[in-house]
Amino acid sequence: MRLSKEMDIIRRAKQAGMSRREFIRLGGTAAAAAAFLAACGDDTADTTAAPATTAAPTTAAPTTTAAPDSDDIGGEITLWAWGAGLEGEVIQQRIDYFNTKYPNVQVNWEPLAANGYEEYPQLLARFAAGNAPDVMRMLNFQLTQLTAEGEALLQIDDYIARDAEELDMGDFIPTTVEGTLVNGKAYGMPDNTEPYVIYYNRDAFSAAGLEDPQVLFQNGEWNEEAFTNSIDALIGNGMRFGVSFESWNYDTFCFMGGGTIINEALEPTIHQGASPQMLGYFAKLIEDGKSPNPVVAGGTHLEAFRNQQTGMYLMGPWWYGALAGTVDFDYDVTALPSFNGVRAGKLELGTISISSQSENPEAAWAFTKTITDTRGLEIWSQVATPTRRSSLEIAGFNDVQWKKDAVAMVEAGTWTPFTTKGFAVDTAAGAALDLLWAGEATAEEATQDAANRITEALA
Amino acid sequence: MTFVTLENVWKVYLDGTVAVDSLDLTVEEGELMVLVGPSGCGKSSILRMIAGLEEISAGSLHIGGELVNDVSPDKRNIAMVFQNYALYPHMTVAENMGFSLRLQHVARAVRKRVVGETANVLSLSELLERQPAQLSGGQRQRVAMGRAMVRDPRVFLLDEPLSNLDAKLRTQMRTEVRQLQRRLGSTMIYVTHDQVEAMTMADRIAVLRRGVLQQVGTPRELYWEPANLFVADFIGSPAMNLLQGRLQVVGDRVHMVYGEGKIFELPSRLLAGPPRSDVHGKEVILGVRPEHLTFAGNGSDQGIPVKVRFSEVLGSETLVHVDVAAPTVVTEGLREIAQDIDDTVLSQLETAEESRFVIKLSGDRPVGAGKETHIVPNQDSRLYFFDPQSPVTPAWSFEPQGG
Amino acid sequence: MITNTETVRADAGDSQAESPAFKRPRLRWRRKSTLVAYAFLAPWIIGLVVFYLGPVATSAILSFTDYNIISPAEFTGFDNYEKMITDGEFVQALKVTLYYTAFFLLMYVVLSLFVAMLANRPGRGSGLFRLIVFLPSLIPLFAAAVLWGWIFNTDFGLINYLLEEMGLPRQGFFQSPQQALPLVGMLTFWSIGSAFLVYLSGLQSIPTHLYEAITVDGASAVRRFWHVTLPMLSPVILFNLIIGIVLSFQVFDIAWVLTDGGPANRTLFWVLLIFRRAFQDFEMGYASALSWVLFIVVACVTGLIFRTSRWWVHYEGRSR
Repeated sequence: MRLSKEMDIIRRAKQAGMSRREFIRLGGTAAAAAAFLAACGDDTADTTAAPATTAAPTTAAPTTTAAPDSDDIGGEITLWAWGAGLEGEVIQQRIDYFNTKYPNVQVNWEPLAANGYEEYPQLLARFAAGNAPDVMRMLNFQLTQLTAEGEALLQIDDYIARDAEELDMGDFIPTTVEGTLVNGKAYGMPDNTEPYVIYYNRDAFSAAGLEDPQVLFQNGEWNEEAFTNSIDALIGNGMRFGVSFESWNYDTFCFMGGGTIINEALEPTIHQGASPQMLGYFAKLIEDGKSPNPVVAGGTHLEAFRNQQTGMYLMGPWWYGALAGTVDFDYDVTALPSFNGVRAGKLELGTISISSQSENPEAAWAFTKTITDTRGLEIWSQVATPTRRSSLEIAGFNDVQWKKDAVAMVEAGTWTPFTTKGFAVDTAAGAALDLLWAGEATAEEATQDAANRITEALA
Repeated sequence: MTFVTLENVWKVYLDGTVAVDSLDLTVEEGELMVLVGPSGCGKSSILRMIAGLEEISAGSLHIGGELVNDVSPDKRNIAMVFQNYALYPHMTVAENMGFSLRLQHVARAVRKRVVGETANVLSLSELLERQPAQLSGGQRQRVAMGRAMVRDPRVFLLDEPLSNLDAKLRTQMRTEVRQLQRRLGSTMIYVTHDQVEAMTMADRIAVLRRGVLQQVGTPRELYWEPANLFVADFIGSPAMNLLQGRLQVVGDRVHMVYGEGKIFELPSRLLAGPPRSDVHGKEVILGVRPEHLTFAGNGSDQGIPVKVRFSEVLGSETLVHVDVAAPTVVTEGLREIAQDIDDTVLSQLETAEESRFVIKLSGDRPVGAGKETHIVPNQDSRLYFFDPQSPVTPAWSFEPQGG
Repeated sequence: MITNTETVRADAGDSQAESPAFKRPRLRWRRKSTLVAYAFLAPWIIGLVVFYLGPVATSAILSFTDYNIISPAEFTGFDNYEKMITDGEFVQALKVTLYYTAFFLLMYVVLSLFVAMLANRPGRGSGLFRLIVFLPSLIPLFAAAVLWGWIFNTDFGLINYLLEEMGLPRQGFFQSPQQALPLVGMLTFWSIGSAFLVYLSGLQSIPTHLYEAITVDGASAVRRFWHVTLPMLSPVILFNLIIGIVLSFQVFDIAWVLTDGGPANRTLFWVLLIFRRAFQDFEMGYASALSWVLFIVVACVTGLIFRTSRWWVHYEGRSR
């Protein structure tokens, strides 16, 4: 199993015992501070009062009603993407593939030194300087932020509509397309994705006389009851905890039962519907000593799984390969259990987006759609989980049980409408829910508090 | 009445250094006892043991008849004046002086009165509200004295209290302290490395060397009857002239052979009775104080031939520096001074063919440099004989005739 | 430069009487030497302006805008400053920072003094003791925080394991809303090394004879401390107090690495909030305003302390 680069990055972060938020900061801060200062340094003299920005026309519609012939498109485009080693080679293969179709476009790509997190503030500075790259590989929260902060990205609905036939958008797993939308408009093409899943200790399950969760999932029996039973049986058979998870995954919990955090109108919904119930369910596990304290301050809960302190672990699938050889028990991965008859969960998504500052949007669009077509994503599947069903099929993702289960979770994934305040919403809700995990508030109180804080953050 | 008694007192530091070696010393009530000696002689250790700032390794210390070895400093009812005065820099003069009373919970009004009276005695009344940083060296010294006086202690301990003052002020303060002590009738133990200070102030002086007491006595006793070479060399300014040689008894005469076979016949009037035969062939250091030498008459070949280097005219007296054809006797005191200047100075001294004598003449009587003449002991002269092997072997001398 | 000027002036003095024309070369000389001086200072001045004063001034201007890096900044007057009053997270950050400051000063200014006094006693092992106290300062707080996270983990940490072995209840530590901040505060003991060192050198520069004098005067250990150690150390205490306040208002590392401001924002330090607003929410204008308020608060507090210092700080050799 080869993991995509960003998942590797996240994995490294996890190994260092950091949450995603922390990691983003880790990558971001020093570089961010430096880059920000550098940006100030460069442009301070003339930009202090009104930092140069370029928000170019935001709805640059295609100039033609039909896609130009590939030979008619030329010029140069700049690609902003990270990727070293094999991943870099694969990206180069995708560029080469693009050039077989569009021989007159020159793609300028210099791999980023790090991982796209560290360079993100630098990217912002480039936008501020009116010097943004044409095409960017991004993570969907970056996409949201760039879009919402100033229409930095090209809105591509018109291009998609124009080239609908060629694109076959229906081939994409719908949830991944959803992840490229901000306020219902598309700002990028889905590139690769990872869903949140359940790791389980197969040896512990069989020792406890439990049915294998993958089998339960295939039989449609991997639900709340089976999950709860598994936890109790695992603990009854020598495991210290049934399942471990991290508190910043509260959104996953909400989604699992069909709940949400905020709605399309950007009003908090975390205190409504299934969210309080789901959060209460997980809080009860902690209260009953069936799960370790999920507040991430020192270490990940993966370690608990690795050391057989817990029989299950809830996280993205990127640890699958990393666990191999570091544990002496049989483990596997399957989908999240269904709650309230709903199966849903959180996704991570990579996209390919175009800058609204691009002077050659036709070429940029041609590049974007080509490397995310079936062949482009098939090449990509060497190192990533592609977002097209056809590519998954060709790459054999449905032949491996856990990958198949993971793809099912992608199908069932949920997005919370991100805003420019994505992080603010996240930290606001997270802070409120900490009292729930500490047993100092009920799910109702904590979610109401979270809703209030989200309202404040979005104000 | 014996007031402070040290019996067989030792001070041994953790690193094995013996600072004080079986000291027996008594200080009488109302007496000003000066402890004197070169640095490292243990004088400060003794003072600090009496103060209670350092533990007594062995032996006993009595103050006013009471064994105080294990009594804490504040209970000994002593006061101490430090070399750097140790004034509390953040307190005014009045606060400094009254601080010990404040610690004893003496009422503010009483404190104020006592401090005021003491300040009056020391002419500090104008300065009471100043801080130490605003005072001159002499003023600070007086405040330090005042701080000690305010306590009305049984014993004053003074640790080189004048050494931070300039020469003129030091001379003046010497007298002041001495008069103060007389007036108060207090018992003082006073440490100094300056023998002039010791000689001018003390009722009695204790000379120490490397932790061992060499001699205790009045200034006169130390001057006239130094117990050994160390004391003889240490006491007196300019220092005693020393000449190393071998005694030869020739009939009823005693010759001293020095340098390269030079012979000095000891004046028979300075030799009591017939010379004892046991001094014959004895290696000795002959000591004569500068004021006990004079020049032989013109043309006389009596005495020790010298060459005049230069004269210092001090008004009422003249110091004539002359060279004698004999190796320099390098005493500990001389060695210390030489080393202070430069190590090469020391080696020059040690290999010198000539040694420097000083002759003190009364009146204004300079002698021209380069003059070659002879020196002889004068009327009041006393000759001291010391053991060249050790500076602490007791000195001996011939009784002066008719003395 | 000074030497040049002096020399030239001296030379010129001789010829001054002869002809006023001699003044000209002198002036030219001086101007030239001034230019040379500025040439040598230039790298520093340019660096100061471009990398320090420039950004400082920029942030002051940005604090009156809604700058978010991507969009053009628009002037919003005092909006950013007014916003703080109603920003619940800012109020929380203020509380946390003040609480932490109190804790930190206790460790950095008070406790480190006592540790320094312990280390100042002569004798075997005092060198080792000093080393042990100072050593942690050499390890970045950043790295130490990661370790603490493990050691104090609620479920898998060493400390709780030991507590359980001793029959004591497990503690929440960093994962408990009640304990996280006090624990962070206590762990600042880790960083007292520099204050300790300053105290130690301060203690060693107190003349021994002052202690001897006060001992003979009849003071107990407490009074010796009160009447000699404290007044003599007061300039050093002032120094550590100021440094301590500046450090504690700027604390960031532990929360950033370890607690992310949590649980429940209980370790949300002021600077962490600035960071969140700047680099998570890209509210550069608001973050700049928060930074300037922080600066003003620290400046006021230190100014206040300096003002009171004339009543309690004693400089030797200088009057009040």
